[in-house]
Amino acid sequence: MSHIAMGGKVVTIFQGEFHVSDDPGAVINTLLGSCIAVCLHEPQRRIGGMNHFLLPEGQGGSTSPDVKQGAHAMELLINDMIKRGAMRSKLTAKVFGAGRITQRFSYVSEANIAFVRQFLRAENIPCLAESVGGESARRIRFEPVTGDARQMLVPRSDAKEDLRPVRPPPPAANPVELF
Amino acid sequence: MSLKDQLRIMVVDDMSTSRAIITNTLDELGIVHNYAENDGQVALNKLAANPVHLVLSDYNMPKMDGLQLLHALRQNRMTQQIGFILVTGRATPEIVQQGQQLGLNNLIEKPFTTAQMKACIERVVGPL
Repeated sequence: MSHIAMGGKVVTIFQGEFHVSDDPGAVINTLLGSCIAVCLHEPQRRIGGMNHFLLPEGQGGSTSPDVKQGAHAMELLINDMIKRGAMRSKLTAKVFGAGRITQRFSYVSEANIAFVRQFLRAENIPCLAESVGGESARRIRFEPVTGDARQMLVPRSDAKEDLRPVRPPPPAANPVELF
Repeated sequence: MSLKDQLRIMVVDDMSTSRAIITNTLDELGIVHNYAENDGQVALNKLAANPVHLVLSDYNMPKMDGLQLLHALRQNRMTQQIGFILVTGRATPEIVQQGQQLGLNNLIEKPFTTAQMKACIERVVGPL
């Protein structure tokens, strides 16, 4: 489900959620450990959205539960954007997350990355930037109207498990990367 | 020859990943005569010329959504008897109600398991 923040400007999403906005001041925020987030933007309509999901088992095959779950997460986001006037052919993507936060999730991370790359290729959605893998968690702030995304790496020791429905702490003074 | 050997199904979904998921699920069920289209209007034209037994259609599609396709199929004598299953990410009460009014045979929500798809199809066409 999409998540509306108080004040209508900053929206924080958690695993299994997505949010779409064409509000010029809106920011979509999330904290990623092993999970992956896809930020989609449609520059002509000036609308964007982000989801946050995890394919838990990381099994292959187009009928595997994971691929279905991931495709579903992507479809909900794309459909909501199209419903609000985005043109499918103009969508672009930026992809973040799938960090190897724990040994347990290392194979899952690779599977999540592979799924998203394959999905975007199959749906002809250009991926303009990606920051995936590694051993850090990531805080992502996405401006849906401009398509700008900012990533802050969160030290592994500070990273909260992103499966837990807890509000993440305020961002630390870490380097910011622009995409 | 079993029913699944004879059954002809058309899958209509604008997203290639979803089409692949549905058609591969049909393959797993042993339904070999399945065809796929990414556009409701194109599917409608093909079905009028060559009807199938069952249509599995996505709801959210850009030019013609799944319920518009259902409505059009029910208006044509050549296609009005085709079984129709709506495949949707979110089955709202409005979609269900509108579908029932238009003659929807069944509905399945994504993501689905192969067993769920089998049960859904069997409720329309009988045991596979």
